[in-house]
Amino acid sequence: MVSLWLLSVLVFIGTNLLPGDVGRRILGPFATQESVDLLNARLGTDRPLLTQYFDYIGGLLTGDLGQSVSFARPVTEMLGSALAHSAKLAVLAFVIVVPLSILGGVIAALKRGTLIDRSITVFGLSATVIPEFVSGIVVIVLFAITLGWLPGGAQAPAGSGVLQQIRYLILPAIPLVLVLFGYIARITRAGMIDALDADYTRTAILKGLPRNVVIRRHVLRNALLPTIAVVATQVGYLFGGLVAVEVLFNYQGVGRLIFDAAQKADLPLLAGGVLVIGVIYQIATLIADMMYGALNPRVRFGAET
Amino acid sequence: MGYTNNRIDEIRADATPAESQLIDDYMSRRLSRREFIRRGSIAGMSLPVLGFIAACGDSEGEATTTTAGGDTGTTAAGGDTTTTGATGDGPVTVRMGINNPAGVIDPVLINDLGRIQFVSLFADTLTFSSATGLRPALAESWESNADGTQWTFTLREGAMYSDGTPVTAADVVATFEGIATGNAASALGTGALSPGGTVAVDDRTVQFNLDAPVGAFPYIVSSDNYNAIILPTSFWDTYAEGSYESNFIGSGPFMVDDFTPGQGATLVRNDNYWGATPIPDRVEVTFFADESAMISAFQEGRLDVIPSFSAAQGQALLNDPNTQVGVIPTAEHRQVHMNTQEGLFADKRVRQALALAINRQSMVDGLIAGFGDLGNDHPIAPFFAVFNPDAVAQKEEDLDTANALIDEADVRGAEVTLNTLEFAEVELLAQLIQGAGAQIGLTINLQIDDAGTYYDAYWLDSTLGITNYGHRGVPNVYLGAPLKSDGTWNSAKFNNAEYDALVDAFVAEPDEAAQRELAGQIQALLADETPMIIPYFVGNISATRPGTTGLETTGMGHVIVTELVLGG
Repeated sequence: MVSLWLLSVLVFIGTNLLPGDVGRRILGPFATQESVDLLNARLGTDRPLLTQYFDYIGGLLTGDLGQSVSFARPVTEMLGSALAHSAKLAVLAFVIVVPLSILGGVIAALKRGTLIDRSITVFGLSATVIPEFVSGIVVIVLFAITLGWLPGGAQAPAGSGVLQQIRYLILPAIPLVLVLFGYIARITRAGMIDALDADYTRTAILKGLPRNVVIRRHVLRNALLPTIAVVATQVGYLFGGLVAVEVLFNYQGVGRLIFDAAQKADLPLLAGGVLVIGVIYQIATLIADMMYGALNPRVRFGAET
Repeated sequence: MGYTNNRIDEIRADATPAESQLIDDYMSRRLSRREFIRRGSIAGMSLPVLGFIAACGDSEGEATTTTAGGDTGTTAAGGDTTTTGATGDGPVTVRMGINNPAGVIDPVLINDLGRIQFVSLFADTLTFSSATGLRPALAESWESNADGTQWTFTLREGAMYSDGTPVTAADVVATFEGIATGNAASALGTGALSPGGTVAVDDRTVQFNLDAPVGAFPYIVSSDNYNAIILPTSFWDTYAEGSYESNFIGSGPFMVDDFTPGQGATLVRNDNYWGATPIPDRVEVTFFADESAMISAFQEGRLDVIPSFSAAQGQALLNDPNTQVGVIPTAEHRQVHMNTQEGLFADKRVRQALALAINRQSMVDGLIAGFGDLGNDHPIAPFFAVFNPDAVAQKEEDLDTANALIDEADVRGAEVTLNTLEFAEVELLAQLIQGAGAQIGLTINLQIDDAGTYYDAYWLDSTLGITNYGHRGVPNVYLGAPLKSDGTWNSAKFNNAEYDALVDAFVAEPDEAAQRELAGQIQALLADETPMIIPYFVGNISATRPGTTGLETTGMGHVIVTELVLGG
C-alpha cells in the first residue's frame, strides 16, 4: 500500500515537472494563448498542484481513476481494454517461455559441461541481448512479409475467435520469448546445479531411488525456487514494459498507453497506468511468495533451516 | 459543336467581365485547363459550368469529370482518368491505414494528421481546397462585396447529415461560433472573422462579416481549416470535450459505424450524401502509431490504401513493383529560421551565406525521394496559384559566394546551436545544414528534441532552428504570423516594415493577377533578406495496389475515396 502511494506521488511530481502545460499539449503550438487558457480552465489543469493531487487521490479511493485529458474518456475504460490486450500477449509469451526455459535450464544443468549445455547457455545469452525492436522487425520481415506465414500486426480483427487471436499474437510473442529465455534458463540451470550438488540429493541417490524420481521429487522443487522469484519480477515487464513491441506490431497495450500519456502530459492516464502496473507487480510477487511457500515447507512454517 | 457554341455564349452573357475574360483566355489557349478551373473556382463559377467549358475547350478531348473527384497523378498508371460506376459485384470494402489520432475526436481540438484524415471521411466544410484548386462542398456558390469584407455563401439545396436532418445556415453559424475559441481561432483570425461575425440570412444563406478585407476568404472556410467541419446546432448546444465521439454526425460520403480509440474504425456509405454515391460500401480504417508498422501491413496485404506516408520510412514501397505510388504537390515545408535580431545571424550576409551553402536538389532527391518542389527561401510554394515564377531566380549551391560573404562578415569559426524536433526527415535535414555550415566555416551543433519540448522551449527562442509547416491552400497563414513584425509565430524575429505592408496588401487584394504581382515582390524581398531557409516543399505520396484509381488526397491529409476503385 505504502509503495503504491509513493508511486502515485512520484508520478504526479514527474508529470508536472515536464515543460509545457496540458492545454498547450492538446491544442498544439499554433493555437492562440486564449484558447489554451480556456481549455486549461475547462479541464481543471490550471488549479494549484496540491488541489489537483488531492482531487486525484480522493478519486482513487473511490475507485475513480479520473478522465483522460487527451482522450476525454474515463481512465478505467481505457486501461481496462489496454490491460486485456496486454494480458493476452503476456499470457501467451509466458506460456511459451516459462516451460521452454525451465526445460532448457534443467537439461543444461543435467548435461553440465557438455556441448548441449554450452549451446543452450550461449544461445540464451545471445537472444537476451538482442533488443525487442530488432528481433521484432526481423520477425515481421521474415515471417510476415517475405514468407507470409503469420500476420505482422498483433491486433486480430474484431470478433475473431481464440485461435485466430493467438495466431496474431505469435509473432509479437517471439521477441519477448527471446529476451526472457536466456535469463530464466540460466537461473534455472544455476538452481538445478545447486540442488544436484546438495547433500539431500546424494542421500536420495544412495538410498537407491531411480534418478528420475530423485530429480522429480527432490531436486526440482528446490531448484525452481529462484526461478519462481525471477519469473515473478518479469511479469511486471510483460505487462507494462512492452512499448517497443506494441508500437511495432500496432497493439494497444498498457505499455504503449503509458508512453502516449507521458508524451501528452496526460496525468490521469499516466498515473492510472503506472499504478495498475504497480498493482500487477505486487500481485505477481504475492503469488510467487505463495508458490515459494508451497514448494519449500521450511518457508511455510517459518522454521529454522 | 453548334450547340456548345450557343451554350458558351449563353454562359458568357451571364458572366461578370472577369469571368468572361477567363473564358476568352481559355478558349484561345492563353490559359491551361488546370489554371482555368483553379481561377474559375476562386471567382465563384459553379463547377458544372467550369467542367462544361473545360471539356469544350480541351483539344485532346480528354474526359474530365468534375463531380467529387480529382486524381493523384499516379506515376505508374499515368493519365488523368477517374472511373465512375462499380466494377464487379458484392460489397466493396476498402482497408485504409492512417496515422493514429493524437487525441479525442473533437472538431474544436483537431490539429494532427490522423484526426484530419479520419474526419475527412465523414464530415464536410463549406468549400474544399484540393490539389487542383478550390471547389464547392456544402456551399454551392459564394460572392463577396466590393472590398472583400463581407462574404455570402449559399448552401447546397437538399444537403443532409447522415441521420437525414438538413444542413442549414443556422448550423454554419453555430459551427463558426463554436470553433472560434479553439484551434481554429488562429486561422479565423487570419480571416479577420470575430465571434458574432457569422449571420444566417435565411435557411440556405450565410453571411460572414469580416473585420478586415480578405481576398481569399473562401479558403479560410475551406477544408484547409480542418476545425471548420459543419455540424448541427443540436451538437453545438450540448458540446463538451469528447461529445462528438458519441455520434460522429456528419454530412460526408461515409458515416462511422464502429470506433475503437487507438485501434481503428469502420465506416459505411452514407445514403444521405449530397454528392455522387460513393463506390465503396465500407471503409475499414486502422490507426497506426508507427509508420513502419503501417507500411509493413500494406506490404503483407492487410491494407489496400495508405493515403499518406513519408519517403524516409517508405523506401520499401517506393521500389516495390506491387505498389502504385501517387504524388501531389503541396505547400508543406520545413522552415529553417535564423534569428535576425541578435546572435550570429543578425547580419544578413551570414544568413545569405548559409542559404547558398546548401544543395537543394540533392536534399529533395535524398530526403524526400524526389517527391517535392525546390524552395527559394520564401513560403510561396509553386503549388500556389499566386506563385510568381518570374520574380526570383532559383537559388543554387554556391560555395564561393557563401564563403566570401562569411569572410566579409568576419564570422568564420563561429559556433551555434540548431534546435529542432523529431519529425519525418527533419533530423536528416538538420544534419545536412550542419554539413553545409562546416563548408563555410561555421560549427553547427544539433539539439533535437521531441515536438512538445521543441515548441515549448526552443521554437520561438533560438538562434537557429527548424520548424515544420503543414500544407495550406493559400500562403496567407505562412506570410502572417511567422514573419510579420507583430506575428506570434515569428521565430526569426523578422521585423521589416516594407514586408508587413506588402503582406497586408496581398491579403486584402481580391484580384488574382494583382495578388501574383504582390507575391512576386514578397518572394524577392524574402529571398534577399533570408530570415529563413526553405529548401523544399514536400509532395504528399500515397500507396495503393497497381490499377487502383480514384484516390484523392490533399496536402493536409484529407482523404476522398468516393470514386475509389481497387486494383490488383
